[in-house]
Amino acid sequence: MSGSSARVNVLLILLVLLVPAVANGACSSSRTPITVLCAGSLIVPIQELADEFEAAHPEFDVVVEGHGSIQVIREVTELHQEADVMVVADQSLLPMLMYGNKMPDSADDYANWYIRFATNRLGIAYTSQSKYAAEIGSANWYEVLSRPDVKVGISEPRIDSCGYRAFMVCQLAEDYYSDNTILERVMGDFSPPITVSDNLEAHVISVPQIVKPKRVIVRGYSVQLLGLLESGDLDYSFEYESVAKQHGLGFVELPPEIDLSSRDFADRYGQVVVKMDFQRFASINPEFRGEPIQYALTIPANSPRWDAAIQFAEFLLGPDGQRVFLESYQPTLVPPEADNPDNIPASLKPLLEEW
Amino acid sequence: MSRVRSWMRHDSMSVVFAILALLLLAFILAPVVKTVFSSSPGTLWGTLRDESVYSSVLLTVLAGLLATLIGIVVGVPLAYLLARRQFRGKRFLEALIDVPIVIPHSAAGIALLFVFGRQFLLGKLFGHVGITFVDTLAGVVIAMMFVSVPFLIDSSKDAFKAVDVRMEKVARTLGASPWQTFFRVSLPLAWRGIFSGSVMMWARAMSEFGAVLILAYYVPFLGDRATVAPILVADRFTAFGLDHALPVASLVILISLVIFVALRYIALRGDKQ
Repeated sequence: MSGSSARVNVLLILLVLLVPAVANGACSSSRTPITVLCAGSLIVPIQELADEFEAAHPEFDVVVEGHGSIQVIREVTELHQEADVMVVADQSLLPMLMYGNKMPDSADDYANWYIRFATNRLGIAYTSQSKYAAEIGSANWYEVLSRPDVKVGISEPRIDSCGYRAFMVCQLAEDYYSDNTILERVMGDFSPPITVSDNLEAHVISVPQIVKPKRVIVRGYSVQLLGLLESGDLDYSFEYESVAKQHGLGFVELPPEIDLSSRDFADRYGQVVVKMDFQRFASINPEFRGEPIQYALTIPANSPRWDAAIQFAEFLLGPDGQRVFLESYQPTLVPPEADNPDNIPASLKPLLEEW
Repeated sequence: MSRVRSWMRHDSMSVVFAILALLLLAFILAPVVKTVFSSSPGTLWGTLRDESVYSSVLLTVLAGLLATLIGIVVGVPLAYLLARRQFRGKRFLEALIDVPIVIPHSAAGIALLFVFGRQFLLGKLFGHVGITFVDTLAGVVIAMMFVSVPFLIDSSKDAFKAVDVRMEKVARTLGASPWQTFFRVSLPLAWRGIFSGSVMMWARAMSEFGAVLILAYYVPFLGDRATVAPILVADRFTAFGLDHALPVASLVILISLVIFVALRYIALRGDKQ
């Protein structure tokens, strides 16, 4: 009996704690909320930006939600969440999933412009406790990762950009090191298998409907792998440089020919395509061609608080954003670049010129 | 007419309570019933024959059962001690046992990781005998057990408390050892409470999502890989959308209902006897 009364006590305490919180939530409705959906790999700098923005503009309440980049878009286009600013880790997703995608009861697309503003590089995150941490380097990383006693983590390629990019990096490594077993050795088997076929232009990696890994450890998005690295259940994970450094992890830099960081190697990156082998979105068959990593921002056309969204976007793309991104080890594009410049909201245009 | 009015006049409380109760019942039943009937029997059958759904359901049922069996072996003795012995800090201990019920289950998963992870104490110990907890069946079982064992302990404790101490004392004075007394007297008299606690634990274990997700996403199972049903439903939803998640959700709800209703029936039948 005393057990259940203890539980009642706990519940009562929770309730008492909850009431002021709820009341507070109701009172703070005078602040304009801004919902920012962002790629998981950006959550540290964007949260920092949100805090600074709120400090400078107390009339706003910025809510930041991190997801895998594909999921960021699905939240809006399929689950009909109201979002004000969307930031993804792969610019190609926006035209693929939002351009030409009509909003319900409207003749307009979810978006018809976006702005590229940051880059990154893909590499291998590890801790001092990782097996063979003393040995691993840019020249032998794939050899270390393919050892049978080494645990490797990737994020879900169907949901997260970092996931399909990990496959691209391994495939690019095969050409770069002239060793066509790297992808298979590092990633191991999947059930059903992930296959590679070559056509005239590119290596095409086909990801089936269900990704059941037999060797690597998979989590929804790459940031979720960090806890497993720290607990020692992963030795290495494919990760963005900014994320690894934000968390004080070791980071194996890969050659720029394969790490998706440099525009100089755009043609080389383009020789790899990751294809989702299933009809996931009603009319689109997602296919990702390798390209330099470019983060992009847009404001969905149905943003319920358009002016507030513009104000936050200005802050993010302007000097304050630059500073916070650089402090978070996130290389930026200066000035940011527009896709469909004619459609860019007027107040964002000045940011796209030299400054 | 006058009868109705007098009933209302004398018992307006019952009417208000009945209306509130109906609202609540509708709130619980509408989503469950709508989900279950959203898929035709043919679709449900097809879904069950989908190999990854089938193995997921089997994994969930078996891992939940394993967690419950371990819970019975270690939880029932604890429940007995709590019901029969007085000691300092007992109330604190009882509150502690209920902690897994009130903390967010993703936090529970992280807490488990930081004890059962390869770098940490228990993780290292189990590592020596070749048991690891990330993306393994063992990980699913500990996650399920952590969040569900309080139901078993609480229910067993109440069941033992309901057993008259004098019965145990009589057995002892007749020469039964403490072991004999426990297995021949206390346990048979308390079994129904322990059984319904086990059913609750099993049901709760099978429905666990957050803690399992942190520790074990896809685990080796039956020569392939499988994930537990709650994660499968969420995965279908994130990767493919509502249409693909619905039949799996209906199926999982149906299976849980059938198991739960059947076991409750057994427990209640024991009650009548």
